Amino acid sequence: MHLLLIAGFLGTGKTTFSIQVATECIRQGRKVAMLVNEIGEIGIDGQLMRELDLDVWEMSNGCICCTLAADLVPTLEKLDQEYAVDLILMEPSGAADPESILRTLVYYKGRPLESIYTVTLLDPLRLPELYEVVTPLIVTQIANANVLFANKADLATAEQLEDVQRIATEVNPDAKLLLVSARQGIDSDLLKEILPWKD
Amino acid sequence: MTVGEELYNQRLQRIKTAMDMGKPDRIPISLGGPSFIRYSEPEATLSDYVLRPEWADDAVIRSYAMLPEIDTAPALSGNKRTSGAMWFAKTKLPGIELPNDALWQYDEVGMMTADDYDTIINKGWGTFSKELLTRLGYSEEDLKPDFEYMKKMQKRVKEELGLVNMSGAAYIMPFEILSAARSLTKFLRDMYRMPDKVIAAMDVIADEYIASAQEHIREHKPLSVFSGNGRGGCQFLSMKKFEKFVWPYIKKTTDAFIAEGTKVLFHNDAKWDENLSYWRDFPKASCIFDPDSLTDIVKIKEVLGDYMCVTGDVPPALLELGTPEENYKYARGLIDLFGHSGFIMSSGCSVPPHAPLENIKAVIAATIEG
Amino acid sequence: MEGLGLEPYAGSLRWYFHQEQPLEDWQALLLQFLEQLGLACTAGDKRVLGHIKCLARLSPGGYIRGSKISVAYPADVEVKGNTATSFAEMQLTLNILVYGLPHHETQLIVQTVGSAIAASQQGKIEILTTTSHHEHQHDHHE
Repeated sequence: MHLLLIAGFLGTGKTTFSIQVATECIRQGRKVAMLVNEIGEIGIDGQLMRELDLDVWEMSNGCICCTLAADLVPTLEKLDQEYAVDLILMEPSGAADPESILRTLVYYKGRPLESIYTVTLLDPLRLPELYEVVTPLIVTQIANANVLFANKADLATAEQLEDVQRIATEVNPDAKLLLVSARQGIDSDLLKEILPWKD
Repeated sequence: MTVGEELYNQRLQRIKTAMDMGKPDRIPISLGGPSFIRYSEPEATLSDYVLRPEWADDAVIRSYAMLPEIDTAPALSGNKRTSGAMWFAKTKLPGIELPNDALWQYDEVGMMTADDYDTIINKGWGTFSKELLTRLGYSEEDLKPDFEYMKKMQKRVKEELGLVNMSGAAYIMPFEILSAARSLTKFLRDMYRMPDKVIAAMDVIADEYIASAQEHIREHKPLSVFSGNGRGGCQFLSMKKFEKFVWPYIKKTTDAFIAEGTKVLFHNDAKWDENLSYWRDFPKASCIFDPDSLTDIVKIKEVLGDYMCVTGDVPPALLELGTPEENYKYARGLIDLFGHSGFIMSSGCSVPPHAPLENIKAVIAATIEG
Repeated sequence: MEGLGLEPYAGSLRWYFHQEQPLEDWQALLLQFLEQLGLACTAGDKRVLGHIKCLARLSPGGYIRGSKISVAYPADVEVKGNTATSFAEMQLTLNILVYGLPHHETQLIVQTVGSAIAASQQGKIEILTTTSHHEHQHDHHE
């Protein structure tokens, strides 16, 4: 069982992105479970994903709520014990920092995870202002990423994409930055970059 | 004097001494949260708080009777249907919108508009907040507290069990309440694009808080008033924005509350490691710092340990998922760190819904051993 | 502990010997591996052990799993199900969650400790996959 964490601020298009990742996994014959935890959008996301025949598990608590672990860990353990899942796709609240999610794994008593991978989505249309206001949150979301996706690239100007590149390089020069538009569909070769197995 | 009253006085003295940075007869214990319904009623679910609140409150009180070492009063069920109103959010409840044993959720719909900053500035926060609650679908009738019931329960908690309320009225700081009312995403954009309006509205809110608190403190003389903070700390905000949008209002309201002769209990959720030194601006022993386990407790001790009472901070995840041995060890570590003066043993935030009784007992045992 | 960073490690390792080893020897080897990982991972200043755990499926229908949650307490290794009584190779999934330990150091520790233990018993260890903190390796996945 692999864990893929999809991080990114509120409204960066995580759900649209996650659905495409999940669809690609299913196309490859893998079983995927999605864990969603978006403030204020929980019902909507869950419902949308279920309509697409994805297995969705909702974590009930928001970002700041200190009981997140208490909710996440039993869900992971249930998935481990009762479902033969290849990949857990986890979409935490956009106001959560990925590290605080990863910390909860300390309490997870199920089978060890085969891989833990974090993808952070960035919104080029808002990144400079978010970076100035909620600096620590954006920094931790970028810093903890294995790979960064600048979503909505089709709507962004060249200058906005340059800003994303600058901020990403400043915070996490090791992470690859890819430009995508989840709305318009993501090339399956790009999605394969973040999946833990080869086709 | 009843046994309950005698216990109450003993506990009150214990808590007051800790809050004054003194050394009480033993470290006070403050533990509470949704799990308490299950200690006396193991089959109960969280929907019981919603669907049969009086039964739930009775179960919680019976659980406290089983754990007489706890010094502080439980938060009783209240009207869960309207509990999200405190955050100008819609409320989703177990047994209604959610599964029976799910924790209640607040859906931050962001009903406040950008034009509403002017409404706050011109009509005042009190008038605007009533209007906003109507927009959210809460009726005045729904929101009216059942004073008779509350009085009955408070009497039971105080006179029968002798449990003490650590704080009186709660004030959610302007930054926090506006970010909830407007929704976090929109509010951050407003801070960037129309900072003057945001500040003018926060000025109005702070002044109204102060007027309301003065009345409350004079009438009820609480041990402390509650200052709620979460998103304003260094987990989210840059220090520059903290200094402009958060700290001035914490400072202004706290100074005014202290001037009325009470202490201020800072319930600071999330991470505040980089902001802690600001709290040294307040007079010694005038505040209580109540973190939720995400702020580094060692840093809190270093920066504020000799300056104000600290409650700390057994992590909710440990209480729910850890073993009694791990909880005992964590609690012992806290006592070794803080010693016996100016410290209150507590959970970080509240005790989560499925925390086993053995873990609560382990924290209590470590504290009683001293 | 909360002030320390956490960079979780997840990886897959292959242990192998030229000859089959009895199951009890594998259990002892895993126990030694977990104990030494626990010590090495917490050797620096301000490092706190969160959880180290591992699991390997064993033919025809069983598994061996190990767990270490504190340096103060011994590691725990258990075998369950229908397993061969001796075998020469084992593929192990390993998770290491230690506060304050950077990912690249964890990788190094796994390699060093694993190789030393394997060599002491005339065996070998091969790191098949790891999810690094900043880059993802796909090699050897099926």
